Parts: sequence; C-alpha cells; structure tokens
Amino acid sequence: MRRQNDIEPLTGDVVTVNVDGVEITCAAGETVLTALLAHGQLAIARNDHGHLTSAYCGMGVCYCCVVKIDDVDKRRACQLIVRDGMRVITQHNNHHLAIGGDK
Amino acid sequence: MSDAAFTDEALPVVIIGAGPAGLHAAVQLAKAGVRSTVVDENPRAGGVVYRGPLRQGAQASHLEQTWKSRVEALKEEVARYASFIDLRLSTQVLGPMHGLTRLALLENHERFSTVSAERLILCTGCLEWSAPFPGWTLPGVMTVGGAQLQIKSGLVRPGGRAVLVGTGPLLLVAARQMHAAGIDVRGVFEAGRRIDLVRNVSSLLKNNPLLREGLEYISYLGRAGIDMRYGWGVVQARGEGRVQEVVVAPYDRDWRPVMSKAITIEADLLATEHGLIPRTQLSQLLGLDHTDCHGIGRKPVTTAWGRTSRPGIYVAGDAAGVYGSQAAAEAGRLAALAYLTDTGKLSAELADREARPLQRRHQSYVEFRDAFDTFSRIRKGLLDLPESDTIICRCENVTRAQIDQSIACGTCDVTTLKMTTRAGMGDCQGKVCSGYLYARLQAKLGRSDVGELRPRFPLAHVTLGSLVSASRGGAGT
Repeated sequence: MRRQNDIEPLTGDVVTVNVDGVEITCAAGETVLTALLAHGQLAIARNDHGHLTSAYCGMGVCYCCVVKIDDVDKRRACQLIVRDGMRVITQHNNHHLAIGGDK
Repeated sequence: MSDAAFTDEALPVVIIGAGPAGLHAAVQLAKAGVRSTVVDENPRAGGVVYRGPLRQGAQASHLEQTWKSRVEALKEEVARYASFIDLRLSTQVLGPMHGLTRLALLENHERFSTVSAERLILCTGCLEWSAPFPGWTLPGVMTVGGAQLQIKSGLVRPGGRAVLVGTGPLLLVAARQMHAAGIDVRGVFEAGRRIDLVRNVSSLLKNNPLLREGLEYISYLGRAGIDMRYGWGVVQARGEGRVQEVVVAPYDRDWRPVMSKAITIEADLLATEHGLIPRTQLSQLLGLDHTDCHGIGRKPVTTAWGRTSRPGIYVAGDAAGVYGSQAAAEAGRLAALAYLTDTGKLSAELADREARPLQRRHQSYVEFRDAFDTFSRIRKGLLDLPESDTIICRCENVTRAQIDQSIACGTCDVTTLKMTTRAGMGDCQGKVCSGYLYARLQAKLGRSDVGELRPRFPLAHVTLGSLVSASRGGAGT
C-alpha cells in the first residue's frame, strides 16, 4: 500500500501503523481515517449486521468507520490520532461474528 | 460499583465543546478574570470549522487565506488567555451521572473520570441532517462536512471525482475546496430553486460580507468550469462495494426527481449536505426542555443569552439552533455574559451594555441564515427518495419498508418507532437516522408532535476495563 491521495507531500514526522498486517506510513498527527483514505482504503468497517461501511460523517457522529485498534473493538478511526506501532484491523465486528450475522 | 468509587474534580464552570461558541465563551470569561475548563472530544480545538491541519509542517496552499487567518486569530486569542483556560482535548463527555452537573468523562478513549461543575455551558455544535436515498450506505458517500474535514484537517483527498448534492452554502464552499485540492468536481446540484433566493435578496443584502463571500464562491466555480445547477438533486448512488455512479435529476417544487431528465455521472465520491441540526444528545440527557427544529430535529429552549430551562446550564452556538460559526462566536460571548451576571461577577447594566453589539451582530447572521431557510428547507418529496429496501438506520440495517410498516400499524411517536424497528438503537444512538424518522413520522401523520428520541448514557463506547481501572484509582490502590 502506498499513499496516493495526499494533497501535498509529507514534510513532517512520520509514524508506522500496521493495518491488517501491512505496515503503512502515516503523517504524525493525522487521524487513522485520514491515513486509511490516503492509502485509498475505503472499505473500513462492518456494522453489527455485517454490512460493509466507510466513513460517512467523518466527525465522530455515525460510527461507520469503527475499527479494532490495539485489541479494542469499535474505535472510531476518524477520532483517533495515529501512533507509531499502532495495530489496526479493519472490517471487523465481534458482535456480528458472535451472532453469526444476518447479512 | 457506586459513583463514589470514582475520583471527582470540582470545577466552577465547564464548557463542553471547543468550537467557536465554546472558545469565545472561555475568552469572554477570561477577560473578566474567570477561569474555565473547556472539554472537547477532538484532538484539536477549533471545532469542525476552525480545526486546521492536523499534521505538522503543512502548507495547505489549497485552502483560502481568509479561513487560515481566522484559524490563526482564534488560536492566538485563546493562547493570550491560556492561563485562564484549562483546555482538555481528546476528552469525550459520556453524560451526567449522580446529579445533573457531575459529568462522566472519557479521556483518550480509555481514561474514565468525573467532574462536578457548578455551572455548564454547552457548545456541542451541530451535525448533518441525513437524507437517505438508494445507495447512500455505499463507501464513497460522505457528508460534505466529513469530506471537508479530510481536505482541511487531513490534507487528503477523500476521492478523485466528486459530485456534490443537497442544499445550502456549504456546497459551494466544499466544491471550491475540493477543486483547489485537485479533485475533479463533476457537478454541484443544489436542490433549492434560484427564485427562492432572489425572493429573499433583501434579507441577504443586509449582511454584505457573507453575501460577498457567497458570490466569490459562485464565481470561482464558474471560472473553474464546474457544472452548478439549482433545482437539481440526488436520485441514487450505484456501484459494487463503492460508489461508481451517481444519478441526479431536476427536482420539482416538492423536491421529487423528474426522472425523464435524470442523468448519470461517473464518480467515486458523493458528498451530501441537506441541512444541519443541533447536536442535542447531552442537552437531552441533562433534561433541558427541547422543542422542534424545522421538523427535522430538536433544539433546547434558550433565551437570547443562552439560558435554558435549568438554572446554571447554558447553551450557545449551533447547539441551540444552527446559524453558523460567526453567530456561534457571538452566542458564546453572550452565554459568558449570562454566566457572569448570574454569578454576581458583572452588574446587569454593564452586561447589557456589553451584550448590545454582540446581539446586533448575532441578529444579522440569524437573518442571513433565515433568508436561506425558505430556499433550503427540506421539501417532502425528498423523504420518498429511499426505496422500500433502502437502509434508513445505518447501525441496525432498518429499511424504509420497516419504518413505514410500523407507522401503518399505528406508531405515532419516535420512541415507539425505535422500539418496534430498532431504528436509532445502534452504535450512533440515532444521531444519523433520527432526523429522517422525525420528518417521516410528521409527513405520514400530518402533525408536528412526534415525541423525542432519547439518547442514553454513556454517549460514547466505554470499555469495562476503563471503568474498573478508574474505580481502583479512586480507591487509592
């Protein structure tokens, strides 16, 4: 995965985040959602019914971009700042897996 | 586990929200020598509008200089009074516990604590009213505000080829920012009719600076050769796993698409904006009196200075009715004056004198927005855009057919609608779908009183681990 949607090149510090087993380069200070979108990853979450979603409100309201971060489920990618060594798992929903999913 | 298990901090005044209303309230208090605590769930102050780039060393040459100056000015003003303003960012308010003004907080998504505030000023801002349509849950459909945040704070393009639909001045602002960021803007479709703008031109003319800004945006889009159409709107989004095509059509008077004239546009980003509603979850949990907001949301009942039905709790800015960031700044200052008067720190006469110019400016922004309301007010045809199998509640996958069936079976308030369908019961607590639920119920029943969708404590997810470690901390172990 490479950054493909930056409006301007990264000039400040960078950190490395592991997304679904792949290391990606992030600008220090940006949100997890911005890092994912920068790499062109739009498929981000599954809701409790297994429905594939992406960021809709982008500002902490809709919970459509929830990902698993460092073993904690349902964290809003749009509200969390990247940290070096962070582990992000996308399109994962424990509730959906537990109930077997209806869609 | 009792509330007493958690450490608590007593504070004289807590301001919720570090946007224009909250920050200007804090500065106004600071000028009177009053210290305040400002809590915001975001990692940066400024609110959605003035957050600024998050990464270091950003040039942000795609963003307007006037906006950058406003971000800097606000930052400098807050910095000047830094010793009076205790700014707590990345801190979410979960709601009141054990008494109205003891608030549970979650810092950095994991550290739980509580604060007991003698008085609260709520400046929680607004959120977008969502108009569901076929395909609106596809990845690549975003609110205009969300897309703007990526461009302004993330410095990342949320798509390569964009279509903007909906209504209101934000469409123009966002289209310009997208174009300047290198996004191919394939069209801007404003559902409002030009004639309704012209009819209100006298009210618009009263606020020259805002009108001039609007005209600059329109001429920018013209120079950039962007297709901008009035009286047009979205029909549906289509694609496999993401948006690939957007269908738009002219709208009739009731905002029903005229399908014979529909066109299909290839795009990977569909930005939607059909109006903004106050973010009332906390004011509702605090038990403030609320009233209908344009038939698409709720708003707390407030006086001109932000006093509410509960003494000691004030609401300012878009959280009390959406009039934009400049009105919010004045409203924040006015709420601070109300606080200073109510606590005996400022005489009523002095406060009145200080308030007069603030109220005058606030009123001019209100009149400007009201002129847009006739133009941008949601028409009922928009509510029929979703097909029967279109998802309305994104968290619980509740379809339009399920909503309508419940109403057909006798449901006449939004709480019963929630209980019978699960709409509004999921992760977002109905923040996204409640606007449609209110409007749909009102349209189907032909009356405005359809009750209130109640939010629940905690307002954000909190892990049991956070609670356990907080209570251990409180016990001193």
